[in-house]
Amino acid sequence: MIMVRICYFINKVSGVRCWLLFACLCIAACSKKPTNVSKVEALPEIYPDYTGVTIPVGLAPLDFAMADEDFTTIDVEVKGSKVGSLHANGAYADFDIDAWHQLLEQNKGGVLTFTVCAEKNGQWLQYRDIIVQVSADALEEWGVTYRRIPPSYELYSQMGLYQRNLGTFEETELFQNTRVDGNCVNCHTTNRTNPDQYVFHVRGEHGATVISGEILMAKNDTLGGSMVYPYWHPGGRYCAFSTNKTSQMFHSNMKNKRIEVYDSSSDVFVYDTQTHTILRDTLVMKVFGAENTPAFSPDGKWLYFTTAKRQVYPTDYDKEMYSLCRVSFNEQTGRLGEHVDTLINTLETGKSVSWPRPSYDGRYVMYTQTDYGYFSIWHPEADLWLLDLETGETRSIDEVNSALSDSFHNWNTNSSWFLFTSRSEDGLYTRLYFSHFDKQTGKATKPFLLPQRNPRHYYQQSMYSYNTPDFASRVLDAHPRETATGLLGKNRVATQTKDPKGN
Amino acid sequence: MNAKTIIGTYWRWMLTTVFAVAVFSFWMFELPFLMAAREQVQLFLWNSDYLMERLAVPGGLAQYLGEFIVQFFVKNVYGALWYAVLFVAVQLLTWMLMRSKQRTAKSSWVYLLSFIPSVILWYLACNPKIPMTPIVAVLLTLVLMNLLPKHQKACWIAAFAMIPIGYWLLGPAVVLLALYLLFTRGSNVMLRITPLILLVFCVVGSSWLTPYPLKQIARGVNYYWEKETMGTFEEMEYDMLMRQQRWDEMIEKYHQKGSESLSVNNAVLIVMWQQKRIDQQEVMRRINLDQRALKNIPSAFLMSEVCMPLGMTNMSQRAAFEAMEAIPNYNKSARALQQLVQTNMITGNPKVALKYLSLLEQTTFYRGWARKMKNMVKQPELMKQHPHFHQLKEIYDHGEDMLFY
Repeated sequence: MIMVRICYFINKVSGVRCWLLFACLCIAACSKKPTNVSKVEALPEIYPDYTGVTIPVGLAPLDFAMADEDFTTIDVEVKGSKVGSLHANGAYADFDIDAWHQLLEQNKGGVLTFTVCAEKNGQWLQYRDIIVQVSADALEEWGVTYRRIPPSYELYSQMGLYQRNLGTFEETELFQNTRVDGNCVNCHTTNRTNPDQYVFHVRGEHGATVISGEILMAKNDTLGGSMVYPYWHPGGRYCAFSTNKTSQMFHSNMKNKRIEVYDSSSDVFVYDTQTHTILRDTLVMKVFGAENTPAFSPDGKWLYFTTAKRQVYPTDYDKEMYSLCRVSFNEQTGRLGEHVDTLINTLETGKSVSWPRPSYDGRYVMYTQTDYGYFSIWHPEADLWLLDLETGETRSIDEVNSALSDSFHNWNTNSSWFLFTSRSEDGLYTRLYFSHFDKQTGKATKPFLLPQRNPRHYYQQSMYSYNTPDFASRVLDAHPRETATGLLGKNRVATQTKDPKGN
Repeated sequence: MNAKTIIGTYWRWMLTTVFAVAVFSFWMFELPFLMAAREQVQLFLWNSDYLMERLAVPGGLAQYLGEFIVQFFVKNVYGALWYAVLFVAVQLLTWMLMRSKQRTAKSSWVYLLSFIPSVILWYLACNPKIPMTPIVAVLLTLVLMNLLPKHQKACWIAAFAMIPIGYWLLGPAVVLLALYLLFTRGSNVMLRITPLILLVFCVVGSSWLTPYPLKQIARGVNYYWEKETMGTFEEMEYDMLMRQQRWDEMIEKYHQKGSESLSVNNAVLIVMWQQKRIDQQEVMRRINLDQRALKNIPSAFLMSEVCMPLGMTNMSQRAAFEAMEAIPNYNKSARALQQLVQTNMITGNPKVALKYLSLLEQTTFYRGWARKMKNMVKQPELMKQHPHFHQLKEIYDHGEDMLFY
């Protein structure tokens, strides 16, 4: 205790947090056991809020701290409903990874009970137990991929594409923009969580679209723009894209709204990776229509997309509302069908749909709903919605939605889990959340934040948002240096355009 | 002892002292705004993550120490003192090195030669695109050169350890050590050239370990900033005067020289309004909020300061954020965070404000301010009692929304 006090005093006086002091405090804190405990008839307020969540076997430990920073020590006992227990004690609850995995495996389909004691001002308090469900549904994913980027206006600094092992806390680089003189890198998308088939874009001086290692020219003159929002055909030969002329403007006095992003025009097309051909079709490239955010159905027979009537910009930006549509797709010919079905009509809902993501079992389409527009991250009212393709019913996924922007989502391959980004924590920095989806009831569980070692410190210090996340079935043996060498060079594969219907 | 004897005995120290005074005066009175401009493009934090992030790339220790020094530039006098100390240290280390090779050298011109590296570094430091990293790296490389053992064998063993470690910690400035060995040690040419070859291997090898192009690694990851975002000297100077609230000087300077810069013109308008020399209507009539006013870091900071008193909190917020994102080496900015804390408080995002405050609490010079503000963020009723914030919040909450580009 004397050592702790000395360290604390030095820290207070100098204001310097050095490793030694930290180590001293940690060692000392680890030795603090709850004594003279007072019981509190309430759940503890912990960060992240993991109370009542459902997690998969194989997930990294749910490390957490007391939300109130005045608590100096936390003592946590975890007991499995079937067998096993774990203990953590320190400034935050930090569980051993192997022991944690064993506990989850042993209690698959059961529950974990967390008994939390915490010390504040020398007084130990014991709260009501926290219950966490361990789902019997497997995640069947190695990890996740995402972009980390500051929530910028127009300029941007460091950003990167990363993959993260969901079983540990390890994050590795897929590609950082520092490798290409700080150019923007975006929209990393894999095919049905398979990391070998991926696409991402680089914007700026070294602009290009990188498709599974091949570097394409950033723009196609006939198309009049670049490839933007992608979605792979499950067969792997085709990838649907939108092409967008995007602008942004800024609010002076709107509550919780800083930025408006809108497209003065946009279209959808299918790209053939074998022939480097952009397959154009007037059905999804209407002159007065703004087609956007394409996605293939899991059987590859349908192409979902959103479409809005083009408005006068920027004055009528808030009248741009997207409906959800689909058109059939023939994988053999690369041709779209002859007519478009409207699944969700904005004239009926008065709302705007974006980012349709079909579940891989083909039953549902999850999408983001906003009051207008499609750039949901800057819409606080953005919520996740679910379309049941069997019944045609839609509903807001209230189990996960917050008062702030909830959007950009996707399913795991067995469609029992989904991830999404949300600004619910502070209104600006987007975080990555997961939820279990019960296929029988169509209900989701309370979402949980991507686990981090020492999560309060991590999320408090991080100046990045999580962006365009997706599951990854296994780790990608990324070669960012080689990719960068290619991007810094001049060689690009040119794309050609074709209208398979000959219109 | 008469004056002649004193000069004869202490002339070297006197010369060095004169040099130190010259350096101090130059930075204090000639380019204080460049020091302010450097200080506002970094956020030096007292935590291990900050150090480890820097140590992950070649030259990281030099960058860390450089940023440690630059945090003092928040006060002109500290900054000028640091420059004086650094350049005098470089000169003395150079002299020690020269003396060790030429023990009999006593003539004044040899001593004068020892000022050359300092003068070159001084010249380079006046370039806004060259940060403090290479200056610290050269200084520490000179230390390494002075630490080389006299004994030949021990010298080479030390050199082969110093080159890779020195390269990783200080960056390509270690080439000075390799060149020193090449030209001064032993007669075996192959041996003398080996440090240079080793250094080339280190540079090329490090390109596999760090996410930067080889060209940038070879030049020094943080030795030179290519981006043209540091602004002109004029914008830096107005920005510093604005930040330090030296409004009379701003107006006087403007009346004498005028300015072509949009942000400077806007800033002077605001200052004249605050000094009651013009009314608000004239400000609104003459102000130009074109996005070109955000073309570089000092301009963006100026615009952030301009928009705040006018009640354009979101615009002020955007300008501060753009200034931070424009920093050439991807650093964050303590000054920008200070501004963003205030804008987020006004726009009703206390959690974002608290996040930024938690970072500022880990700095040397912003900690006190951060702790004071934290109380206000946690107790919003205090904001209502604050004349400045209260008024801006009223404008934000009840003002008409406009879109700007």
